[in-house]
Amino acid sequence: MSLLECQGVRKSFGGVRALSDVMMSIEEGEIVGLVGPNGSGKSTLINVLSGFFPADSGRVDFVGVDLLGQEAHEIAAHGIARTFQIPRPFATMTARENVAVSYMFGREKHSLAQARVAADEWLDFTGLASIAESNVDQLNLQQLKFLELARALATEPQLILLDEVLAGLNPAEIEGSVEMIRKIHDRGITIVIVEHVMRVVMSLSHRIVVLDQGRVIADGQPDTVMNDEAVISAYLGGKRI
Amino acid sequence: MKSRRRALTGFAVAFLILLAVPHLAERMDWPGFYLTFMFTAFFWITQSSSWNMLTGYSGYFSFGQGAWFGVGVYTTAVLAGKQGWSFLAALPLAGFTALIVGLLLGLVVFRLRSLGGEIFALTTLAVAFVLAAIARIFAAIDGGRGAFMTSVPLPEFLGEFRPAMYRMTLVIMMLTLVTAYLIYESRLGWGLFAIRDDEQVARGLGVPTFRYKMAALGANAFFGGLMGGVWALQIGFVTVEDVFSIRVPLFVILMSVLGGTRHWMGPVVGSLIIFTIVDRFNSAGFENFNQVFIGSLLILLVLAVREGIYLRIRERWVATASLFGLIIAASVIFNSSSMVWKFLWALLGILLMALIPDRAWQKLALRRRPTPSESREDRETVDA
Repeated sequence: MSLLECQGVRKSFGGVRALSDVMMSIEEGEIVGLVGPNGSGKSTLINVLSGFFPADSGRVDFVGVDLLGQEAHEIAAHGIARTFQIPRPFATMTARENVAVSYMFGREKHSLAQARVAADEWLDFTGLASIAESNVDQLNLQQLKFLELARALATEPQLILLDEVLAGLNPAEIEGSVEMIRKIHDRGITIVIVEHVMRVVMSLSHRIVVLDQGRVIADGQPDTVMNDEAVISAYLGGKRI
Repeated sequence: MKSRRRALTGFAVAFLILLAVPHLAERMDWPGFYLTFMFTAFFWITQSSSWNMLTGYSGYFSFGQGAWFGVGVYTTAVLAGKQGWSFLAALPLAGFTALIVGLLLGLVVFRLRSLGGEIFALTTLAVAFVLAAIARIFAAIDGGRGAFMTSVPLPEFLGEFRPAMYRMTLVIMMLTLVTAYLIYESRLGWGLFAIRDDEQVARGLGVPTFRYKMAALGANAFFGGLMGGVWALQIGFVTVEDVFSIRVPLFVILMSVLGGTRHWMGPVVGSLIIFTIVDRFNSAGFENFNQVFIGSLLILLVLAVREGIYLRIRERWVATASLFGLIIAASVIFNSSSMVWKFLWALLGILLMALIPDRAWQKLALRRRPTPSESREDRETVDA
């Protein structure tokens, strides 16, 4: 059985249909690239999967549990974590406190004392140990993005949804981030990555799902998908990469 | 956890010492108003600390303190003052009635997601107006004629009126502070801080935001109401205009903001400073200047020390303690006015010291000891 399965997921904002009948499944241990032109519904899908927006109809099965209609905090408890395109750290807390809070809640409930220890492990893992005491306003963009990762990981998820973790980073930082994503995957965590940097998506993903106007128009191996006629015309505007 | 046990021991010791004060006052023949001064300070500390459990911790700005206070006052005024209940039986109900009103409000405002910051603040303000109207309409509560508390008998073991007020307010204040501390050091507290910083992200990480906000609002209403229940005795003749005025919500906001809303101790420090200043102004016959003075002081303070003065004081605690002791000693030697005045001078001294900007302070501190790196590390952190 798939780890996550979406069937006929719909979401409209007023008269605008952001998602119409999205069908998608994610297998355990995969890295899936979720791509599509601007406004194709990628972020909306992430928001629906993580419980930030309720879907209008459809089914989202996660290890046999229907997630639709569940609150975001309940979905986090089932083991889905997400990051934000523009990092949203808790501004009055230090880096360590950010991760500790996340560990206290997340998939299992932990006490403050336990969280103080565990936070350091995740900061270590993401290479942020040296800035554990820093206030978040002293961190640069890449550190903030890694803090997002550390915070998501601290919830001990089975599935992690990465919303444009590479946006705004320079080539060297992108290299580091790709390494980090691989490291996360090596821990047995399934990853869905929304990304604009095609080179990276192509090399990272086992499978690519292409959205256009709220619909899945292609789903398969990176090479096959990127040569698909529908994808080329919809997403790449007739131009090949 | 070691630090928690140590803190709770600290609370117990503080409680026992403060509990001994009425005996001491009697033996040393202190002026009666010392006790009144202290239990009024307890009242404000409780009100502002309970307000801080909601607004300081979760970031939901509340003008509702007058409502919880008022519900508490009227609960004991009706039950003990009019229905003839024994006071100690009526008192817990003051807390629980406020708790129920608070949770009802929470059910409405926290279920409707669209009720963001300003609307939440206005809604809490409206609750006090509605409650005032209800009290004024129903004769069983007030009916516009007020309610007398002056003939309510107090149990023997509490002592005379002043010591009795002192003991009851002390117990409630300690309960409030221990609760504020325990929340601060727990998952509930950190969940609330996460809500304050970014509620959506907090939900995404697994914080049950609705339950937590209800808990914070409930604790705020309960302790505000409980202290209100005792305060009905001090008011004596309870009227709607007096009880549901803007005074309580306004003062708790000022006190907490001055002290700092990010730490449980902030409201305690802020309450002591503002209450002492206001009390001394009143006793010196400057009632009319009070508002002008307090207003300008606050503008100054909020601009100069945004995070509240408690965190500053803690960073400079050696200097604070020395200055406090020095001023008290000096005023003991050079003038013979009451202890409360001496306390005021000492607090004003600390206040002025807290106003020195961090940069200027570091320059001063540098001259004393050449280790500038440690000032930043004083911040409360989640370290092992």
